[in-house]
Amino acid sequence: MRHATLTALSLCISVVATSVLAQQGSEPKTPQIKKPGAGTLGATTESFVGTDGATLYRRACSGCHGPEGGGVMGAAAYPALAGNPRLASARYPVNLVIEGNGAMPSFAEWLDDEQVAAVVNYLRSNLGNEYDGQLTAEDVAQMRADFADLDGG
Amino acid sequence: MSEQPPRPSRRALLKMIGLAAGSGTMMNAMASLGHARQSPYKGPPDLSGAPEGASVVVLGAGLAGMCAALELRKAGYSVQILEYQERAGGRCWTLKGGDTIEELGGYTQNVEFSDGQYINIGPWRIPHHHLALLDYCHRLNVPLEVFVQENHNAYLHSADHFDGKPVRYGHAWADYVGQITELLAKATDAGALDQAASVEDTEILLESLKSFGILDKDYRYVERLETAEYRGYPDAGAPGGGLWDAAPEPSEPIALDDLLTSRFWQYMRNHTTYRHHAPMFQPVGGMEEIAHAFHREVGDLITHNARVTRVVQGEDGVTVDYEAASGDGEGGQVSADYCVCTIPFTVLSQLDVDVSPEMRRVMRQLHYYEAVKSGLEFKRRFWERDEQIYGGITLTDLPIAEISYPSNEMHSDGPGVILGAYVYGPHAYAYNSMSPEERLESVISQGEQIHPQYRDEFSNGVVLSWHRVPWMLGCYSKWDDRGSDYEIAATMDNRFVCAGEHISYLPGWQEGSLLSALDAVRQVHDRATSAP
Repeated sequence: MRHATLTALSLCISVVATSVLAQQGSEPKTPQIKKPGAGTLGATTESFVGTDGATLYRRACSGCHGPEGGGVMGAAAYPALAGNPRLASARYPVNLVIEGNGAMPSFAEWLDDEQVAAVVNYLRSNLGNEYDGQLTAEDVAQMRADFADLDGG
Repeated sequence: MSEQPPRPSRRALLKMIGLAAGSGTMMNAMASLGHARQSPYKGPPDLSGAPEGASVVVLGAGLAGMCAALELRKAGYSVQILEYQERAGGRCWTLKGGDTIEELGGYTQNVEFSDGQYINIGPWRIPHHHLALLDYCHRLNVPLEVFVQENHNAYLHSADHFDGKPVRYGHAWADYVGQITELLAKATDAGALDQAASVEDTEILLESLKSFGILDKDYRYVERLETAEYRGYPDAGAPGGGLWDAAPEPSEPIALDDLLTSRFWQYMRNHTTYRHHAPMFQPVGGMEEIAHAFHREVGDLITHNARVTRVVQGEDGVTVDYEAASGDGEGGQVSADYCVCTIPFTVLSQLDVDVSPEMRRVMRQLHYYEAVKSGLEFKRRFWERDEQIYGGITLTDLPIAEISYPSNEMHSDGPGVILGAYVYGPHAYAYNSMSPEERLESVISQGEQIHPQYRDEFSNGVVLSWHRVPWMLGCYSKWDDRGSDYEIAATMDNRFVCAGEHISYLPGWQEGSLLSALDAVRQVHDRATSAP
């Protein structure tokens, strides 16, 4: 038993911590902690906030693809989204947003299904694109699952 | 207990840690006790017997490319380097007055820092265990100075706690350690461990907690002269000399509850990660001095303004096509026996590169971190004069995330440049979408919540979005799950081998660039010397 000290400590410490705090008359035992930087710049350190497609496009996408989606070229490109025939299928932009590709990072952890739907719907019906069909959060959830299956396979 | 208990042997200690936390922790503990592997660097490679007339084309004149070129030429290879920019050095980049930053999408920032002032907008610190980088600095005569990472007089800050006022890191640290130690001591003293530990173990643990946490006889961490000796005195005042307020007084600890809800604890291991252990170093005059030193060695091999468009591998060699990056001037074609490619995968994945489908897949699937960094020049070093902060880093939950004070020219009467923001995650994308002027205003409006002197003392500044850097399209590689992909990326494909920070277990660190370059050179040399 001699070397079991630290194991035992890790098990008991949470219980004791609560009781000692209580003795000191402190209020919250499990405080509701605000995420750092919540709301500032339309994002937290962990996600974008809001569900307006135009606003999400401006914050998450326009820095690289341009405010009007014109794309740019350096040593390689951020492709144009304006008038882009590849947006005809909604699955294509959803795949890029979720999975990334080359210089395009994955936004899977920073945009939820509703936000992905909002930004892709914005892309497909703005910036010179006029494609029919509105994605729902449920559609995006299904695609996420499909892409994950493909990764696994 | 009348006798001192024996010190636990190293072996017993490891066993104890292993039992408590699993074998992964045991490996980490072994590393910190000095048993795990050091950097694989054992000096510059010995590349003897290079075939007569063998040639290598190196793509990219960052540290990896220039290091590879230096070693290959030394070994007797004929080397050429193609570089997109007019400058060499890649992300080893120091901004000084007179420099211009061109971002994709049309923003131009003119750097207006005073003479001698600078910001390292890419890598900015060197761990003492980055042996290859330190050795090349030594061999290429790059003078180094100490980089202050941890500073107990810098701040922790939360917009929503302590009335938005910054708290000295040293206060928060001493008080957090003291009070969690108090909890543990009280739990132990109340018999929480009686089932699990011997009386002897319990007694030595209590003794250590009392000593380590600066606890009183009742195991309390409280306002006492003894705790002031660790956390500091009221208003950073006495002890002094003579009669005037000279006698030391105790200071009041910050309540544990406030430390917990402010989440300051999440910053408290920041400076104790292995990569940030003191002392760290920086080149005198800016990080780019390292690039300049490599450039002195291999600058004559570089063709600038060359945007690579295509790499073709054949039976006898590699052919690389390039065009003028600026749009003005001639493109060209280079043929060589082998190619060392340091182009980041953000760019390379879009080029016509003749490698295996598997390597192409890995290029597309490796993503890069976003990052936004700011350099702000102030007319006066108010953080030193007014707040006694010399180097080190303030951490905040504002989007700017950190403020780093310069380690150069401490105590100078002149101006100083601080790192005013180092932003990752969604906030960085928000900055990407803003004009440089908007970014600067945002950075200043946050910084002044911590340092009210900001507005009055501000002189000029820059805010760089790494995603908008034309030759990077991102900051540094983000290997989520390396699996076999890492080996595919790092293994020579016929006559073509990749190098750079992305081909290392040290993403974003220059040491990774150099070590990968040396391994790429080894693979080229092995191939060249084993070819029939």
